[in-house]
Amino acid sequence: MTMETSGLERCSAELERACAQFLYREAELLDETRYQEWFDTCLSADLQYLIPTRTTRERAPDVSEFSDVSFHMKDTYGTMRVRVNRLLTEHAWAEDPASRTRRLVTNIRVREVTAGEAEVRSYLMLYRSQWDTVDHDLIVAERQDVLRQESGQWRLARRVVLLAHTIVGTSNFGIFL
Amino acid sequence: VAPANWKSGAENFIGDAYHITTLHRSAEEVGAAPPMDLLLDSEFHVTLDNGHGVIVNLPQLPPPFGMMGYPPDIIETFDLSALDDGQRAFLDAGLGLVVGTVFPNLSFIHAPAVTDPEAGPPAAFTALRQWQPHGPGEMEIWNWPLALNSAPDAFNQAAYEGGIFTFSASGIFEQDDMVAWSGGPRAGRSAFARRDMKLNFQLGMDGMSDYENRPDWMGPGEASTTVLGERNQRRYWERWRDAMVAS
Repeated sequence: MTMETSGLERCSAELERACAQFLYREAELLDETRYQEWFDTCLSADLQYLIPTRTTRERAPDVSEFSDVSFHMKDTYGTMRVRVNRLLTEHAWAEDPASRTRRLVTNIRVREVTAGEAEVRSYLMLYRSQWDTVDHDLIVAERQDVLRQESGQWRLARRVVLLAHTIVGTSNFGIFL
Repeated sequence: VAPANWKSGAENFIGDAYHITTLHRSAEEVGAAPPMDLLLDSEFHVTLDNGHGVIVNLPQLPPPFGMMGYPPDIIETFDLSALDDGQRAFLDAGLGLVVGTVFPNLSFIHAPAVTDPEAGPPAAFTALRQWQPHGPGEMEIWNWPLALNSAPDAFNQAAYEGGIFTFSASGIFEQDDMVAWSGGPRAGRSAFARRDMKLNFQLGMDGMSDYENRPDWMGPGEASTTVLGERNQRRYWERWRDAMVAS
């Protein structure tokens, strides 16, 4: 459950900047709970969105800690639409009141696959708090994305979220990573 | 890890059906679940000894879906030769399992899941879950989605995806369940609740509603005419009380 990691070749500063801007804008939309806008402007119609479970195992070369059969989330464009539609109802209790989130996106590395398609790896640190409490959850992950340019606009075609956690330390994935 | 008491999960899965029309309404509204009031009308309790219990349903999916909500090509792979007469009668009556709890903290769910209403038919999934106490106000949920030995990979995969889309950390049903479960302890600790409030578990008791025993039940245990009652929950808590008093 990892992407081809060899050869993160240099790409143009322009491409790197475009991909970073995409990730920052996506984080802004999600932090501001603008789900519909995120769905309409950030996602590709052939989206694959995966959060594999992480296992605890002996260190061994070439053996991934991430399962290729077990997932916290295994979504498509169609199922993501259901999630977004649900959040926009008046009865999506888990996110009402909405979580207060800040997505810190860093360590962005870009590899151009073809003209108009890029593999983008980034680190995500997500602060999440909800209700009247001083407590918060911290979700940390690497994201391995495929971004594609469609009609001049970058969109997310594939995302694999590699959690830094084996046991999920937040009560649900009702927010998007 | 969820900010809720482990018994809330067990109690929910042993018999709480009346929460679905409000708590899971959003799933119905986006086409990921059939109308909740129809679901309620097609379910009933089976109360077993020692604090165990299940919710059973009448057929919920239209033909060609049959036994336990499976399609015909999956049903024909089943080997039913080891079933006893009572189990046969249960399936022949078109009945199926929805949820249940083995006292104290092991539950299961079996349900047809819709992930994308535009993509395909619902796939029936089955999952075991263990509610692991971390203390009074926190639990860890272990979730085992099960696969059918006899079914093709494509079906098992669809069932798995349906299972985690509905009941997992990202599940659109489970997310909202957690709100109810985590809200209970918070509300219960409040000054208002400590002074005036008693939790009412009388639904379905004599004179409270039309909750009777089904005369046609093949056993084991007692089956109810409607799921709008709290007999299963009361038996669970009685067993819990007995265990606490004994120790």
